[in-house]
Amino acid sequence: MRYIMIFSISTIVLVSGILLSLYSGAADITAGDIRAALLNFDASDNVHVIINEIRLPRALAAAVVGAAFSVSGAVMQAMTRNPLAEPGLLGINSGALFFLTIAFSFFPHLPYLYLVLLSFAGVLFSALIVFAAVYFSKSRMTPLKLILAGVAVTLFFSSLSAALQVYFDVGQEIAFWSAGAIQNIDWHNLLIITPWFIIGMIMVMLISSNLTAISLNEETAISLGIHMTRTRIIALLAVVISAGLAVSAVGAVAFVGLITPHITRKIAGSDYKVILPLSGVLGAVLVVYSDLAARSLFAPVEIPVAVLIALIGVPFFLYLAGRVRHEI
Amino acid sequence: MKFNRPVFIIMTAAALLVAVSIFSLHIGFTAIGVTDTIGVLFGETDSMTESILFGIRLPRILAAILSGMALAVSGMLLQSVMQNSLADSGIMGINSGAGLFVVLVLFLLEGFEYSLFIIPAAAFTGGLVVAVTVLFLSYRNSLGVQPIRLVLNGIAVGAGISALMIVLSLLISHETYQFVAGFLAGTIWGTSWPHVSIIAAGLILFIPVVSSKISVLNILSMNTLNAISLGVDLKKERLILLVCAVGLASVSVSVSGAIAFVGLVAPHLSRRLVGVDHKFAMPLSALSGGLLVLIADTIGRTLFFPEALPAGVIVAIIGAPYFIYLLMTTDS
Repeated sequence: MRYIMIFSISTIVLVSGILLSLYSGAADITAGDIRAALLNFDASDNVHVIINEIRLPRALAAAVVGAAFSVSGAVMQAMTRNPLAEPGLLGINSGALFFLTIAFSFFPHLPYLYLVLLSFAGVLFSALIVFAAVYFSKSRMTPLKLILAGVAVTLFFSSLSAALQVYFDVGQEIAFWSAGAIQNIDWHNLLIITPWFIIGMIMVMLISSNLTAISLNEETAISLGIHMTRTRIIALLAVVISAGLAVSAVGAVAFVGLITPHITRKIAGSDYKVILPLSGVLGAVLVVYSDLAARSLFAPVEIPVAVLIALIGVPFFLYLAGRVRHEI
Repeated sequence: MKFNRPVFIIMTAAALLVAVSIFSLHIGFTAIGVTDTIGVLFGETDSMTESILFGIRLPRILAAILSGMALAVSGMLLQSVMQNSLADSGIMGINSGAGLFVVLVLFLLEGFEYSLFIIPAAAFTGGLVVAVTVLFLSYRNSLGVQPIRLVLNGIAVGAGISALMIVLSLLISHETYQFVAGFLAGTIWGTSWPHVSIIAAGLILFIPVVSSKISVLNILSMNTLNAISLGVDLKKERLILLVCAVGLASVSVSVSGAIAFVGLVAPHLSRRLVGVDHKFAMPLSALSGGLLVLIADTIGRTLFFPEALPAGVIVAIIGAPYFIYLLMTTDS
């Protein structure tokens, strides 16, 4: 009962965030306009076009991306039993960004679907390095070592990206792209990433009870008859799909996958059947509101949403790091 | 004389460094043979050859070697002081701090004339400010500087700075962006004699301090309790050595941009070759650090001609896999 209530409250917060995003901005829009635009859309009305074609896809994309980052963070934390695991901090995002840099350097006019697929490939590549480092490590990968591995992976891919950027002189385009990616999302992009998002969510829900067992203790999980290899592969693919689609839509945003899963565990305990959907909703809330703040704080100037989230994420990371210090 | 393995290895490394320097001096866009060089050395006046050799290539080679040395010594100091073989100046946020200040200064000065020393000064200040902030955040009155806090705070501050860099990179002009991107990727950009003298001055300032602390370093790297019982003032010595490490790394960044992993790979290799005694490991680490950056820079400027790849990119491509391998094989 309690979970249903928490879940409904956070969904209400999320929906109000999306409505607020429709409402606020440079153009004067009233609540009536929003209702009219959503219910009887009139393509010749400018206000309707702004709401329906610009603000709505952007707000929905922020929600999808937030949920995707957050869920992939939760999955990674369960699989590595490491509270600091997160796609940004472990260098997974940088792999995707490297592959996108390749695309910008060699094929500047690639359709969005291919960018998404390339982003998947990049995430897969970097995730394999990180996961291999964890599983083939001689001693236990402590949270600190895993974070350092993430730093190394990030430096590796950002160096490769830098090499391409210097060679092809595309650096600032990529900076502009990743800072403004979320502004340029339209229905077409949204319709490409949403099916992938749903596939990723189904995959993680299929292994949610295994994740609960693994996050508590790997030996217990094995003795419970959980198929480790299968779970690992599904988890890896789910992370690849969700982090990949998120980076392709908004660039390498870090810390979402760190902040919301932790808050979720505080509220909802240790059952991943509850943690996964709830952290998805809370991740969506975080990114929707951050995006709203990023474009209204210094309007008409927009600050990149990644920056705003990092401002929350850095202190949060330090707080968490302080708490897990005894096991480092 | 008895065969002394560590000394032999150090001599070999020094010889290798000289050999690679001479090789590097003779490759590049303009073909210059060894005979030309000897000719110039003995007073044959060929102003063209002379200016390429001694005005362009030699300062660049020296800048690469010296900054590699500074980074390697800095890395080894950090590792011994923190008793953690995975510490590196890049991880403490020095590189990102230097990058941030360089961008800020370039952004503010865009369109103005500025002196040659502005950028090194900005990089040095930035590296220093961030490292001192990280040190300060990690300092506890009762315990002094705590190594684990240092690493975690460094990572967090670095992440915060890269977020700020996103904003700044949107505000600066295309040319400035290209320079900053090169700087952050570790381009040896300070290739004139004044730049070389900056790093040389830094090394001359800090190396004597480091050499006088070799035995302290040996004790520190073993065990905290041992160190205290041997009468080492832990808080004081740690602080002095950390200041040296930060100073050396900042000097290096000020001329060679943000090169990561040198401070990690060189000390490790050295410890493998000559053992943990800093008397041997420290000089070997300095030599191999210089060698690593020199080789990377030489590859970067010749292999991809006419474009030049930053030395830091090549070091990272070698260094990152090595680092991850180290993470997997060392005990915590």
